[in-house]
Amino acid sequence: MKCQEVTELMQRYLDKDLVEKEYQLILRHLNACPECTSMFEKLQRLSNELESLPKVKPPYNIVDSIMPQLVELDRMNEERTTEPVASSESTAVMQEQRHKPPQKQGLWRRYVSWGWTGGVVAAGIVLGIFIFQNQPLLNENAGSHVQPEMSRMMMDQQSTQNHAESFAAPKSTSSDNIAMFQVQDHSDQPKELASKQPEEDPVVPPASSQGTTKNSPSAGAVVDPSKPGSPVQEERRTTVPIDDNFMSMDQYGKVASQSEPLPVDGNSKRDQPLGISSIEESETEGFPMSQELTSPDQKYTATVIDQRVYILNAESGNEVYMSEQTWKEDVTIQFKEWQNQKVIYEVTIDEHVVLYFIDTSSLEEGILADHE
Amino acid sequence: MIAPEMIRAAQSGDRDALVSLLREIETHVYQTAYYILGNEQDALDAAQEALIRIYTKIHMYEEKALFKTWVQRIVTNICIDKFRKIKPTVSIEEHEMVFTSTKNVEEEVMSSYVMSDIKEAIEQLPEHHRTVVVLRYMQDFSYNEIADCLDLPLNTVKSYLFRARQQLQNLLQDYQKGGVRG
Repeated sequence: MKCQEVTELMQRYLDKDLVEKEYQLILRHLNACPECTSMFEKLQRLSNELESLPKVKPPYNIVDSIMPQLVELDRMNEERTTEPVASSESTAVMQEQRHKPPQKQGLWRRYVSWGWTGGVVAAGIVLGIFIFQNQPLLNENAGSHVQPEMSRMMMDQQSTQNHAESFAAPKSTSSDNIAMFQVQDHSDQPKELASKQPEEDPVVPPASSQGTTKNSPSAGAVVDPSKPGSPVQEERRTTVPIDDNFMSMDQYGKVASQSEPLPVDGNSKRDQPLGISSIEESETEGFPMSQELTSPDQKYTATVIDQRVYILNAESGNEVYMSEQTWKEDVTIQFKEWQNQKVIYEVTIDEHVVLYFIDTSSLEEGILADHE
Repeated sequence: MIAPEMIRAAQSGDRDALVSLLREIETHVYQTAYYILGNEQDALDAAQEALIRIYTKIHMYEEKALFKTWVQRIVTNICIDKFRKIKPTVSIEEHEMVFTSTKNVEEEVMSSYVMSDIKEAIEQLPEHHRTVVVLRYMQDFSYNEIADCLDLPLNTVKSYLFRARQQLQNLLQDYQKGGVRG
C-alpha cells in the first residue's frame, strides 16, 4: 500500500470513518514505514488539539441583546396584518423605524434617500400605492414615469370603484400637495445619484405591505394627472433590448411552469402572483427590468448592494439572504421576476446575458438560462 | 439537539418557542462565528445577524434538512461574507498544500502546540477550509452534515478537511521552526 493511500486512511481515521479492516491496513503499513508513523502521530496530535479547542461562550446573552429588534420585527408584522389601512399609528412606527440603528449602513442611506419625511398619513398611503403599483419601476428609471403611471392608476380606479371620498379631495388640499411633493422628490432622486452606485438608489421603503393595496383606488385619486410632472429623462431609460427580454421571458416561463405553485402564507391571499403582473405591465411601458423586486407576498425585497444580490425583509430591511456571487463593477444586474419561490435576475457581462436564480426556499442559486 | 416539537411550534408562530430555540442555539452559532472570524466582536455581530435571520425565516426551514445544519448554514454564510469583507478573496488553488512534513523528522520538537498557535493557524486557512474545520471540530459535524451545510459534494468536504489538517500541520511546524515558540 502506498503512503498516499495510507494518508487518506489516516485522515479518515481521525474522523471515525474507518472500518476495522481499513484500520488494520494502516497498522500494517505503519509497522514498515517510520515516515508515515511520524505523520500519523502528528495528525492525531493535531486532531486531538483541535478537538480540545476551547468551546468559547459569548460574553453576554446574544438573544437578550437582539430582543429589542425581535420585538420591533414582531410589532411591525402585527401592524401589517391587523392594520391594513395606513393609520397614523403605523405611520408613527415608520417614523420610529427611521431612528433605529441601521442593520447595514448602505441600506440606511437608501431609506433616508427616499425623503419620506412627511409623516402625514396621506403621503404614506400615496407612497404605499406607488410602491405597490410600480415595483419594477423603482429603480433609477422610475422618476420619469411617475406621472403616466399615476394617471393610468387613476383611470383604472375610476372605471372600477371609488370608496375613498375622504381622499378624493380638491387639488389644493394639503394631502395633495404632500403627495405631489413626494412624487417630485422621488423623480429628482436619480439626478444626484449616479446609477453606478446602486446602494444609493431609491429603495422600496418598509411601508410596502399589502395592507396599503386596499387603498390604491383612493390614493390614486389624490394625484391629479393633469398636473405637469417632472421632465421625462430619456437618458435614464433602461438600455436592455426588449427583444432579448422576451426571449428570456419565454425561457424562464417554461421553467416556472414546472416549478411548485406559489406558496400561500397567512398574510397573502392573492391569487395572482404580483411579480408577474407587475412585469407584464411594466413591459408594456418598455421597462421590463428593475434593480429592485418585491416578492409576491410583499414580504421580501430583492436588491443589489455593492454588486451583489441580497434578499431583504421588506418590512425591516434586514438581510434574509445574500448571494454567494459578487459581480464586477461593469456587470449589470437586473431583476426580472419573483415567481413561486425563485428570484430571477439577469446579469449582463459584455453584452452576454445570463439568467440567474435564487431559490428562496432551498437557498440554492445558479444559472437559469444562458443566451446571447 | 433541538426537539422537533419545539421547531414546529416555532414555525407555527409560537414566539416563546422560537425565542427559546434561539437561546438554545446561540452558543453554537457564536462558536462557529468565533473560530471562522477569529475575534469576539466580529463573532458577536455575525451571531446576532444569524439569529435575527433565523428568527425571520424560521418558516423557511424544511424538515428534510437537519435543523443544526440549516442553522450552521446561515451562520457560515454570514461569516464567509464578513470574512470576505475583512480580507481580500484568496482562491483555494493558491493555497495548495505543499507537502513538507516528511523532511527532518528527527529535528521536530514533539511538544504540544499552544492553543493560540492553533487558533492563529486556523485563521491562516482559506475560508472554505477553515469553515470545514470549524464545523468538524466545533460542531462535531460528520462529512455528510458538513456537505449539507455548505452545499458541497462529499468528496470536496473530505478533500478540504484533509488539506486543512495538512496545512495546519505545516503552519504549526513553521511556527515551531520560526521560533514563535519552542
